[in-house]
Amino acid sequence: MHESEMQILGFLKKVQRRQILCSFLSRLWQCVSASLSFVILVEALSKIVPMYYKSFYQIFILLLSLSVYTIFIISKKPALEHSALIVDSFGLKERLTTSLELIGVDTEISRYVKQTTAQMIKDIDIKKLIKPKFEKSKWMFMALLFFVFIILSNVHSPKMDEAKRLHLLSSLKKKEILKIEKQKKEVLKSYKLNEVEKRKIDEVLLKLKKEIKLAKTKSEIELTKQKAWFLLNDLKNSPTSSQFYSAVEKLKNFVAHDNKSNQSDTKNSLANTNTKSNNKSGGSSSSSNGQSIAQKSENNKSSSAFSKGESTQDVGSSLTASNDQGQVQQEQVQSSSAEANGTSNDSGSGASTNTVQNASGQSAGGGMQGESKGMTRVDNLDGRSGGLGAAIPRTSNKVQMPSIYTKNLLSLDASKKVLADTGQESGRVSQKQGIGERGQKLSFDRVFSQYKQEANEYIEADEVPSWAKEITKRYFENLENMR
Amino acid sequence: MVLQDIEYTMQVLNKVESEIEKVIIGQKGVIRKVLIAIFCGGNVLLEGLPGVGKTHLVKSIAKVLDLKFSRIQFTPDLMPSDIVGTNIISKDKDGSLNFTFQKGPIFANIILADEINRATPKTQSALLEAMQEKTVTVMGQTYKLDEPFFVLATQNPLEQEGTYPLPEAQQDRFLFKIEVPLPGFDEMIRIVNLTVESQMLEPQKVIEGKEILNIGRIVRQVPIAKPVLEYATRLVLSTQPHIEENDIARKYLKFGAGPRALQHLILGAKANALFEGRPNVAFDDIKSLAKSVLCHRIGLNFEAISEGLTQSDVVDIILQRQKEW
Repeated sequence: MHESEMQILGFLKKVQRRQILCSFLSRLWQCVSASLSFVILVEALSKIVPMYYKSFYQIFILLLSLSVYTIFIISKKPALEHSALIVDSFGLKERLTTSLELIGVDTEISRYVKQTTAQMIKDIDIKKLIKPKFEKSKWMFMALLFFVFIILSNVHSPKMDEAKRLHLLSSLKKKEILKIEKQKKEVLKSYKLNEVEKRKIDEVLLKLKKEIKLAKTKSEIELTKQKAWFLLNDLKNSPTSSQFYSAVEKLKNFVAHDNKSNQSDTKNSLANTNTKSNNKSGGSSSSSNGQSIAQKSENNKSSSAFSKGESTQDVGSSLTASNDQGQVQQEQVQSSSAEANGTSNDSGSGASTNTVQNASGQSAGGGMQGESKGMTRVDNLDGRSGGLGAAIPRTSNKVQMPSIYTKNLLSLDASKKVLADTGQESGRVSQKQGIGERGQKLSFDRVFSQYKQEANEYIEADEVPSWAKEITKRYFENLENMR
Repeated sequence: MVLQDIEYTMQVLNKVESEIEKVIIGQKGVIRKVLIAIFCGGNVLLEGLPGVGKTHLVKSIAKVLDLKFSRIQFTPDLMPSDIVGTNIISKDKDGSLNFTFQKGPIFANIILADEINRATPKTQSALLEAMQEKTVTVMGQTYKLDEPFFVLATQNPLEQEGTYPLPEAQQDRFLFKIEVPLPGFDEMIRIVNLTVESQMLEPQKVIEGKEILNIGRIVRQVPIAKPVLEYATRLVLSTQPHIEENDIARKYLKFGAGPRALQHLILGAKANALFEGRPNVAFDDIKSLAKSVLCHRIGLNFEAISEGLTQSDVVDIILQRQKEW
């Protein structure tokens, strides 16, 4: 190939690249406008439907449209002949087009054409010749769309808060399920269990996972774990091998401990979410979702739910203690109330005071008569639920407690429960069927009044140790006053 | 051919043109087209009012190109033999009588067929045979005409009474039909100054007749780009009324230009490019010659005539509508 031919081809390739660039810039407004339209659509949809990954979708749309546009422009790159004609239209009188066609032709006149053309193109500045077309009105249209997007994105949407909450919940569920799987593997690996035992554990954990998946709120997850705790407790109490006992105990501890740690983790994140949303809405939408009030209550309370070293007795432990030691009329109840509630569990001799802040929010009813030497106060930080033994915030006003679940929901048959002798004055444990059917939702007032009445009857019948009579009375009085 | 030949050709063409422009005032376009026709080996039909310089133009060209010039004034009683020549009885030295061919005025390099439409079709056809074949046949004897051979016929658009307009088939043999316009105000003054007040300038010989043939060969080698060729082809085809897409042709034309028009258009464009100092054909070359090539090859229908359109108007419309690429 002659030098002049190479010069011509090189020049035309430069022109071609310049054309692609100019074409890209000239039509960029179309791409940006189209993608902005979709972005605005996503933004608008996010105001109607909870869409946690809104920003991701928007960025994806922008990048996708830009990529498609770039590919389109590159695929539509002009042919060299076209580039030659473009340059020719600036006064070269088809010289370049003719030269391009004469590449490879070796006649006198073709050489002359190519040589003269090569000389001519030396002085041509492509950048001055081929410029991108910027149409002001079109770019203004694009700017308008961008402005609309900015305005729309600054409009606060409760759905976005909802989306964030759902996302956190989903993450929590996944995390929980993974932990359960991991723990299960660990337990099965550590303990030699027979098939029946394995199956029993499997059933419980499967149920736990299933219910976690179905949970619609964080509290429901906690509730599910509470259920699992009780189920595992039941397994432990059945005649089993020591290996199985240990395995179940480990799982119980895991469920209880995990419950506690999750509480603090997720509480913070959800509290943050709520704080943000409250700030955005100027505090006017404090009850934008079901958890707002409860979380607000949590925020008001001590944030170090489990930080107190001496009271790290978890829910499970607390309950175990009650069951094992106290002469308890055990009515484990759960509350679906959105309000925080708490109560003091005065079951000890008063020698010391242990404060247990029940992060699970669904503490079972505390023992009315316990052997604990310390006075245990249980604070329900979650506020989503509460039983008679659940904590009531000391600072709370009288609040309405619409309904609670009976303990029977937890698959434990209370009527058949045999509680251990506490070794106290009476040394007798009495047990009574709780009100309501298994899993039935009952009003707090009904449960409370029933329990109070029962307690009074026992006190009057001298079935409560004398030292505990006053405590029991005060317990119910306090509960009533706190409402 | 070497590179110098191309550059030399372009210089010569410019020189020829400049030389003729010295004596023919205000007819630059006409001069260019006539010269193009000459270097392409074609014939030209000049149409213009009397006194616009048609004859003077042809004479000047003949002088600049050093060609033998002959003028034939066409009249209704002009016979073919008056043009091509005839056998006459002559006595030789021995006193015996023989037929000797007496060459007519057609035996020249440049023929000015003045008011060709005044002669009968028979006489016209005698000239047209010579134009096409570059030969004449008398009494069964064929005589070759001198090279180069060009016919520059003229028509007077006025005084159409008693004329024999050239049939379309015969008009098609002319490379160009050039309308010689009246000179403008300034040109008129220059003409007067040049011809009346002072002594008339005589054009100088620039090249010899033989060189014209060489230049003709170079013209044919001028390259034409495919888009330009396609444009010219589309242009010619768009005069065809039988093609559905040609709205204008269908509306205003009875018949359109054929392949010969395209040949002539491309050839003329190549020569025009050299006159412009370019070794390649451009869209502008095609456009500048389109009217001269196409106008006498298309026939207007009743609608066009009723609307007062001319061939030139229709070609203008077609040119405006035709995209380059």
